[in-house]
Amino acid sequence: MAILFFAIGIPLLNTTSFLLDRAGKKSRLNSLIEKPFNFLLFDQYKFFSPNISDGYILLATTLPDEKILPIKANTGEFVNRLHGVYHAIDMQRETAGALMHSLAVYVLSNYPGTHAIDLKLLEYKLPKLSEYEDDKIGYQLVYENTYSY
Amino acid sequence: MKTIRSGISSFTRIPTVINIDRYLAIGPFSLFRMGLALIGIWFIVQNWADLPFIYGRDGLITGEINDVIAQQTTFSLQHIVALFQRLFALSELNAIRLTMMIKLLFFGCLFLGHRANVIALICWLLDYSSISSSYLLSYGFDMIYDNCLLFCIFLPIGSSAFKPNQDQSALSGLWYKTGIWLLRIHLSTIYLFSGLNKMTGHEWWTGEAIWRAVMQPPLQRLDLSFFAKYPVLPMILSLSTLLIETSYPLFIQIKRIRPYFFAAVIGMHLFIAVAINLFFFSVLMIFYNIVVWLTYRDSRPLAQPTTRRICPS
Repeated sequence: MAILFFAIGIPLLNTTSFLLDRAGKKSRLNSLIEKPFNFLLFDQYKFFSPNISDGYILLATTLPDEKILPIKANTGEFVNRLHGVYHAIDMQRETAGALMHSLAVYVLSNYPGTHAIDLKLLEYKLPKLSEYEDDKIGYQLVYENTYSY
Repeated sequence: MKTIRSGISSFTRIPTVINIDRYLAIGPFSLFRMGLALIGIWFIVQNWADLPFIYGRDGLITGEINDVIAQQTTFSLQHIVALFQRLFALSELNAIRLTMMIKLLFFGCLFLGHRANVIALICWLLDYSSISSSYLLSYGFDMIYDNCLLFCIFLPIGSSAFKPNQDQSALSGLWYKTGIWLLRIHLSTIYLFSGLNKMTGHEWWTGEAIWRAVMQPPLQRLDLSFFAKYPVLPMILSLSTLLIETSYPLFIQIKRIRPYFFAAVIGMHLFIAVAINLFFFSVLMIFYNIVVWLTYRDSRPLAQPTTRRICPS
């Protein structure tokens, strides 16, 4: 049953969609076929695809004494989730400022005695497989701002 | 009786010398329900300290920013938290903790199985609201877990953990078979489209994707820098991933290939858990695969045990 669905059903739907498109009939049926397929292919199940995103490091330093503050996270699961926010800051520039501000509030609330911080989001520039040499990994600045209250 | 035992014995051809029916006489859907409940409980308990930062309106991503980015005003966990704050005059932290305790309670009820479908509906609503309130902090695990809970609302997921055979009456029904196929198609869809998406990226064809996944924070857990000396290794892993994911709907159906293919899928998820630090995601996918392929026998149902009553003549 599942073989039939994947082997016949999906190609049939796509062929129908293609033919309707060629015939210039942007029908309701066409959009009904295309939308679920595009939703599945491009929105829903896109784990680690099409390529692997860069890794990021958030660096918080106090001002003016420039002491590095570790970003508090109790579990690896939380660290994984933080990475999604860093990625969003890099990819969605229009909301980057608001997200960095939110991260600054988080850091400042974790260090009650601190009143001003410099927050840098760095992109981890991993060399390609063929170019990798030990201890030669660079970082690129994605976003930097100072926050105080 | 189609039970886990029958599935395991047909899968591994273990001779049924020991009567393990007594221990494993749980239908696949009961196992599905109980496993999902345990994963949910495990997730909350392990991440208890971080939950306010993930779900709180004053957490890592403030509620206002989350609402703008998620572009939604739907039901979210923060609505429940706000309600508790108003009702019981609690701080946000305590209101989140209370909400999570209620969530734990419902997951416990889901495990026990009393009025399981209704409880599954409540669990799904709570889980969906959690994702809504932490849109940017959610990832694949949350989405697939939420889908599984949604299926639990409609499937014959059993009535009791301690009397597992109660759901056996549903085993031969059409809805039972349809349910199993629904889960199988769902799982196949996940792998197929995930594989097709990967195929559109050049890194998965060269092995660079595996290299980047295992060598970058925060996913890096092991030192696999020796991959640079032997680039054929990440390339093999990368191409294997493409093959496994895109051919999953086909090869997992073929019974002769299934055990080997199943082992490859489990191996892939174990690698993800160990090397890429996505523990909950891997546990969920391994569990889902076991329930869907290992606990159900497609054909030739086992003979029903007969009970002979000796009548006094």
